[in-house]
Amino acid sequence: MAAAAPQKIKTNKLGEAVLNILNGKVGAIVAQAMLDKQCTAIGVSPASLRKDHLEPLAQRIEHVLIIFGHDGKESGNRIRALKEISL
Amino acid sequence: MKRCKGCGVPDIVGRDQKWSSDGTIPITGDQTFRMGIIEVPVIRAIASRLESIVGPAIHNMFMEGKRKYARHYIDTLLKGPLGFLVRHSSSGGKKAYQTLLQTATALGYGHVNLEVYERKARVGGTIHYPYYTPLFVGDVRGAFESIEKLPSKGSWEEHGDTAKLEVVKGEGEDKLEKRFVYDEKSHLPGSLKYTPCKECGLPMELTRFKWDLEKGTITDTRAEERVFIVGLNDFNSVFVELEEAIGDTVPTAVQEVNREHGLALVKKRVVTGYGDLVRGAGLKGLAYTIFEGRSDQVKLTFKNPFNKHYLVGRALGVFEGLEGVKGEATVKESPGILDLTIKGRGV
Repeated sequence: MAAAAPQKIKTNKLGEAVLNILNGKVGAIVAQAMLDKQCTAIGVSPASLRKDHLEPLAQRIEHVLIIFGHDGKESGNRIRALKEISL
Repeated sequence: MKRCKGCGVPDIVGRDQKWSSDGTIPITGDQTFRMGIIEVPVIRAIASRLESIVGPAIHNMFMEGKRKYARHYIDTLLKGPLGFLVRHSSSGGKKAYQTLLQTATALGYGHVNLEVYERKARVGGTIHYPYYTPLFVGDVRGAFESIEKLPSKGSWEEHGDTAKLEVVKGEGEDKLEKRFVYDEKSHLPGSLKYTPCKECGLPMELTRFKWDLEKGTITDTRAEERVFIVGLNDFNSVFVELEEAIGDTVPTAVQEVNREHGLALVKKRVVTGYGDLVRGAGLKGLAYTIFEGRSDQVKLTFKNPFNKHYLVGRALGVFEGLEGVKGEATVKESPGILDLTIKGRGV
């Protein structure tokens, strides 16, 4: 059975930037589910993500990406680097 | 391979597993390690549905979970002098793989021809009738890691009813070593009773399963479907990791596949009442189940439950088939217990 088309989660600009990093690794469906789940785990929503959330979020994403066969560190560092970008 | 003259079950199955009164099937030598009987169409449907969500990475995840389980299982079998002999004699390694592949045949994993063996370097062969190839490759990787005491990498190529597999020595850091770990649960007693085989003591209820030792398949003759005997912990480890990574999508898929399967079992009249669900869960090592029916609802208490979503889905499907309405589940969990109440939706 094919998966249903992903229902877009609500994000702010920072959430959208993280989503773009994840999209390239795991595809749109998993990226959205992952961002939603990992934001919830650190007590925030993808629509209210702030720069001070990036470090705990990067750590969680590094941890979970490994099971998908990816080097979590690379994505984690790209998420951390968003701190320096003006969005 | 020898079979019991009383029940026809391969001796190796009774030697390595015990059907317990608490709804579990622990392995000999490690009571905490549970086996279970899983339907091949169900694992394939779960894998396929998860592949549509997660992508092909799902197959590697199942392989990883299985590798850990298989290594643990074989470490348990190769304790003491036997392990020393296997690991140090000139022909011990190859013989050990051949013996383990016989065990795999008895567990319903398919039939394997070992074609390549280079000690501490490479194992390869052809699987005929694989139950689900990534799990089989995980088995061989676990065997390699236990026998050779080295990390491994595995690959496979499927061709219809056969698959070519190769396991080689792995190099570098294994980032997944600490992942897909066992999820040990509280263990509660039960009072399940089976009719023991007069020859081997295994439950006579197992005669509903037919072993084809040429093909390496087990068929549940009541449901007319293929099953296999497998460590339950490795499935749970995959589901737990995925749930942690992407949330409810995975439990929903596991539950839905089982709901559909439970409903199909009722339609095929394999399950004709809740008693069949209760007995089936015990015999398959999935839980010790207590059923309580009321006029407006069904209550099932699963002790020592295997995966919550698997059992809830299966029960919902059976409810839907028997009652003719969709069910609404309320679940309460406490250590070692899953309390499930199902009411008709909108009733």
